[in-house]
Amino acid sequence: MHARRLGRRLAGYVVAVSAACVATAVIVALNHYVTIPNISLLYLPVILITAVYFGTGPSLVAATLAVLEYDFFVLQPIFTFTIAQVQDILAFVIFVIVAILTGQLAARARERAEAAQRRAAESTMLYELGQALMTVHETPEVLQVITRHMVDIFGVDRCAIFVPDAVGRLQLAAETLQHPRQRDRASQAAAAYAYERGQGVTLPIDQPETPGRRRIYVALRTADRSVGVMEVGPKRSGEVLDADAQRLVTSFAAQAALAIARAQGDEERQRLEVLEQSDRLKSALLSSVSHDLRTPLASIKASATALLLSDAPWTADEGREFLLAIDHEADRLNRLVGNLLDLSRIEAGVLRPALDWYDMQEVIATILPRVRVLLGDRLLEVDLQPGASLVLLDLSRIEALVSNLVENAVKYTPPDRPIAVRAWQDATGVHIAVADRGPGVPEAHRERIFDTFYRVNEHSDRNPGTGLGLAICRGVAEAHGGTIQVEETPGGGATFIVTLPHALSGRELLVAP
Amino acid sequence: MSGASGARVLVVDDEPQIRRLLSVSLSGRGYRVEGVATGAEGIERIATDHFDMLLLDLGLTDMDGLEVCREVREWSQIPIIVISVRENERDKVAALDLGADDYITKPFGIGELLARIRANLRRVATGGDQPVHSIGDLTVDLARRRVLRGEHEIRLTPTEYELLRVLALYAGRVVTHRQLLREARGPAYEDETPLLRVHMAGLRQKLCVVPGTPGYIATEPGVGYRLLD
Repeated sequence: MHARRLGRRLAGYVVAVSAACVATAVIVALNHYVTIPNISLLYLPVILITAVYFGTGPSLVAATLAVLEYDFFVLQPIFTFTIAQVQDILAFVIFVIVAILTGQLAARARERAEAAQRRAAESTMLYELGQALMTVHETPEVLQVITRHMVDIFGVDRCAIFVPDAVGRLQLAAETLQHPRQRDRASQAAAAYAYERGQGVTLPIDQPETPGRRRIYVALRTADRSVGVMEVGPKRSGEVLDADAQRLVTSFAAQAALAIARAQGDEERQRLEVLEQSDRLKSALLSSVSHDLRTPLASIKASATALLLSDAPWTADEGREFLLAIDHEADRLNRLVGNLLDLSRIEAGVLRPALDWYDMQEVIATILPRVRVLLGDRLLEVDLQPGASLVLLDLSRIEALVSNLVENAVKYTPPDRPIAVRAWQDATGVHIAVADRGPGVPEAHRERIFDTFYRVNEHSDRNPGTGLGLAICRGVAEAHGGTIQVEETPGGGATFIVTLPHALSGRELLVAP
Repeated sequence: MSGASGARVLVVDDEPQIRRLLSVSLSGRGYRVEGVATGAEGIERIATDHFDMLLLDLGLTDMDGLEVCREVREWSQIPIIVISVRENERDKVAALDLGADDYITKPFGIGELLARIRANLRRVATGGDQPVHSIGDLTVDLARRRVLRGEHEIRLTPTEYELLRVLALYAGRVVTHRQLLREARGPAYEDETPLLRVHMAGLRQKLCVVPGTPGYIATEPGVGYRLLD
């Protein structure tokens, strides 16, 4: 860059000298034929043009040369530097003034143009960084994008970003570097200083063979806080990061700080949402404990105390009914506890199914006896096409899933209507469906019905529940890499279909590693 | 059909309510029941006295029930049934691997517990070497290597037969996957669970009359199989 500027300046002087000479030659030639008063004005465009294109220096040279040549070649006495007339002195003065004024004006205009061009380039770079930052949302990615851009744009060896940890100590959060480098005390101190003062710090890293090399540390600040420090430099080319570059780094730092603050804000919001969700879960669990758990307890307590009455006002059959109630309600309580445990595992993301290969016949054979207990006197229609495949699942969890679906179906189906369980398999996997003949699930609710806490009739007292059962079903299905969806039962009602992947024939299983 | 009248049962559980309940309900069936609260007491009672059956809770106050299981198994062949709220399959398998003979998860029905106790005492009584095992209308004739349902002979492959033979030897008791493979096919096959799945599916299909019913073989999820008696 320096060499180019020097060349340009030299060219300016060469042009100035030759233009003045050409103008003098033209004037001398014209003077042979006609005498034109004020012919010296011909120098004016030469001086102007030189000033506009090459600045004050060359145009001053052109002006001086013009006066000297005019005096020497044109004015009487020719070939001497003697000036006889006042008007020629005046011409000389005017030439010099024009040269200086125009040169400065032109220089200023040129500077302005160059600055505008530079600003345009900078805003293009800033815009590109902004665009790149739009596509990423998580802090680590944001930091990566920033450091990569800095290295590309400034041609530096390294760009690193330090972000304060929970206790406010700066920690390296992202780093792009060409040559790995040990972090030293000086750079740590510089980073800390820049962060605390919110100022840029320049750290010379002179070495005998590379004088003037430096790294700069810029605080990443938004309007209200510091989000970290960016370290930039030194340049790969060995050039010094000059004031211009430092100013540019600062504007990049401002944009980077905004992006980091935004990403951190998003993450904070997400964290709060998770907390809020877990708060809702806790209150749902509490309401579940108070309602769902107490209902079976109430039946148990009532039945047991009835049996304890000393005057035994019930018949033997009624007594047996009390005992059955205690037995059933205890089972229900046990299922509820299992559901609550599973739900908390699902919400915490730690539900890991103990997958094993089962043939569908044994799956259904294991599930159905437990499901039948839930049905009471209801009719259960079973339609099985077990096929020869083995399916990978956690049998206990799938059993809990189907139990939940059947319990749900029982809740919503009139007592005289049957509930159907079907199992079949096709190319997409193994399907288990539980169909009821209740009111069905309106189209609008079919997606959300599997959300935790979601209930179709929020304020219905007729079918109390916490809206946890289907959330567990979905959690279990998804933990198996499967899906659950609800459709309409032909003729009315809801059909829940669980689809599990990974069906293998026995032969395939034996060959599989 | 208790056949075990007078059998002595030791209950090790830190819940007095459970000890009391088991004591009452088992005594009613002719068992002589004694209950202790800690693992140390349990080990000492078994070491100094004769019992026919140990019902062992895993969550004891002084030591883990699994530890009791391991220690007792070092010098005693007493049948051990683990009674625990732990429903995790790994815990069940761990207990069985450490020498427990069976397990039952709390909360349980007394009927189920009585069936387990019977099955485990019967194995001790017969030594498992009776030649013919009858399970419902299923007959496994070990001497002639024949399997009959009612009058009909069921044709099994050699592997299926071996699996059924082992299950019949332990009728009513849980048999873990590894144990089943080891005893049916040999120690080298212990980890061949896919093989087990495939042959068990075949066996189940041949034994099962009505699809969707357990037939004779119940699956203990994640643990093993149990031939229902």
